[in-house]
Amino acid sequence: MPMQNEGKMDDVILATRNLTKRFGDLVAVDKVNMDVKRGSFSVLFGPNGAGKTTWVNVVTGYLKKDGGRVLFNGRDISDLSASETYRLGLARSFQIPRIFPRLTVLENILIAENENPGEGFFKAPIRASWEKVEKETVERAFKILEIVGLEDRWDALGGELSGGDAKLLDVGKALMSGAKMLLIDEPIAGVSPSLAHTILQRLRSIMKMQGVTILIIEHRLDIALRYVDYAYAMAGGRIIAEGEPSKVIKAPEVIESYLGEKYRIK
Amino acid sequence: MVFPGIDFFLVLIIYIMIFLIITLSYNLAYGYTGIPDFGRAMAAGAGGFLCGYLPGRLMAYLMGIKEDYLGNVLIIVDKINVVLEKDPLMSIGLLVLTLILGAAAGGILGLIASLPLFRGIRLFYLGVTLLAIQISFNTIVYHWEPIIRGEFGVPIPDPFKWLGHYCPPNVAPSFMRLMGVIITSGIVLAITAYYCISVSRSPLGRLLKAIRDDERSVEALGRDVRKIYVKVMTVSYALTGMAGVLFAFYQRYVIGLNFDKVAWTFWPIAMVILGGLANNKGTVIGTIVFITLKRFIMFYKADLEFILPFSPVWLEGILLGTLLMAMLIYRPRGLFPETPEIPLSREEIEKLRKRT
Ligand SMILES: Nc1ncnc2c1ncn2[C@@H]1O[C@H](COP(=O)(O)OP(=O)(O)OP(=O)(O)O)[C@@H](O)[C@H]1O
Ligand SMILES: [Mg+2]
Repeated sequence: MPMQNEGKMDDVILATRNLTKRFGDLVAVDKVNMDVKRGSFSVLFGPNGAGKTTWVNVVTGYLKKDGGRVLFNGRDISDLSASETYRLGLARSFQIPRIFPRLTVLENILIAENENPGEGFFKAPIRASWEKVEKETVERAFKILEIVGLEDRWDALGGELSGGDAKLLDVGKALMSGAKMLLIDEPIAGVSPSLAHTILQRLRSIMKMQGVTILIIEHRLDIALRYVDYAYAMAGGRIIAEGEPSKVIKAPEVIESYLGEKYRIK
Repeated sequence: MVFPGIDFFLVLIIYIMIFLIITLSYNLAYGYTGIPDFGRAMAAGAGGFLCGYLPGRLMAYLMGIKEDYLGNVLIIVDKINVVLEKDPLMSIGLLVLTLILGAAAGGILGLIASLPLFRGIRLFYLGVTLLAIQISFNTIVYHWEPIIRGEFGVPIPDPFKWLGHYCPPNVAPSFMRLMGVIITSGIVLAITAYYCISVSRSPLGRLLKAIRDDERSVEALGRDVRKIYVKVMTVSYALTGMAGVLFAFYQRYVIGLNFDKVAWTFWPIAMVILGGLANNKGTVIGTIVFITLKRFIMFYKADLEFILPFSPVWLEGILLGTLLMAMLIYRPRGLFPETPEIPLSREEIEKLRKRT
């Protein structure tokens, strides 16, 4: 099966083949095959402990896989480090936001730009060598801050943010990366409903306008499913259903393992 | 009680400047980047011991002196000084060359000492490893006589002697010499301060702080953090290496006991912590306060003998310990806590913000 798909790699930006990750006896990710279409906006959902975050960790080089392969843009990235996958254009955010507490909100976003000449040890003291790039980067950062609604708080310290704002800032970092594909772990967890809609709307427009592929992990399907065009359901480390969102949530396996019986009556 | 004379203050200035070079470069590694460097003394030692090893031999070679260098070092250095005294150009050349090589020696040491990171060692353990490497380094210099005759040490050619020779009437040659040391240290300090301060206000400074706060997160943003640690260690040790050269030239003599860990690692750490980590202003003030205190204690040691209930020999250590403990309890973030340093000014940023 996996072999057949490789011919159509052009429309697939990210694929995993029999990807497996174990923690001792626990198989957190169990031979997962997933194809993510280029330019799509999809959601990966499933019960707590299904293995969603672990899948992201392995794909982005955060954890070493125990088996299988990861292909990004047709290239095998299974053994690359986290920094190498980022440089290839695959960015992620964290379920538990990772903010630099002693940098300002703006600086937290600016760090995501990794091609600033002012990071060089020779160029850093020479302002003229990076000032222009820095200004452009700041302008771009404000556009992102506006998307996540933090532009007024740009000079607050990262460590002073509330949990929800920290979440937004982390999503902002992923947006700032300029990556071809974003893996965003629970972008709207702990965020108010109105802001949650705004964020997903904006993610969708970014995907449309810039052709970025976005995969979110989310539990709040009532909100998320309105925006995505594809859904993957995961349970016990396996993909149990995938396809058009409205169909996936009607799949019996999904109702049983995730949504609960009440959902069926509705 | 006598009041210190002008020479005391000139020497005080020299000490302050030399240690500022060390603490500012140390702050770059520890305060900004979070490398717990307990081996700083060897960076200064790299420059200082190089000063005992190289300039004398180089001059002896250039002057065609064939005798065994270390065996006749006192006589040979005297001969060299006669030549240097009349040759300002040669003196300055020797000074600059040694400073550059001292920086190179420090830099190479910093690079080598941080290589264990590539074997997967964690940052905290690197700090301890650095302490161990520093102790071995000093032990080798102390016991392996072919370098600088170990505990006997060696005299060092004096690149400032010509200043006394050419000095105006009514001015003591020793004063001119001290001025020479001050001006040279001032130039090296200016370079160091410019580098450290401008880096702290650059995208690199931001990156270093981010690494200190969450190394793995920075990795996730596409940076090779280990390489950055190695670069910081190289640059920071190179700057400190020059401080070692300056100190050795100022002393005109270096022995295997110099550049010990108390004076050259622990004191600088205390100065940076007292002033405030990742705050260059704090580092400068912390250094000035500590060095001034230390020099005054040394000056009044004899008088203090009668006031203190213990020998003044212990005063320095007791003071260092007490001050550090008090600081860590009452002002754990130093006299001047870290503040955000943004590469662009607030006005510039607000302007850019309005454009979007
Ligand atoms: N570092 C780890 N060491 C050991 N076990 C782990 C580790 N990380 C995750 N696990 C286990 O792997 C399984 C999958 O966890 P994972 O975090 O991927 O779930 P998830 O689908 O993201 O769940 P949630 O929706 O709660 O975030 C869980 O049983 C978890 O306890
Ligand atoms: Mg998770």
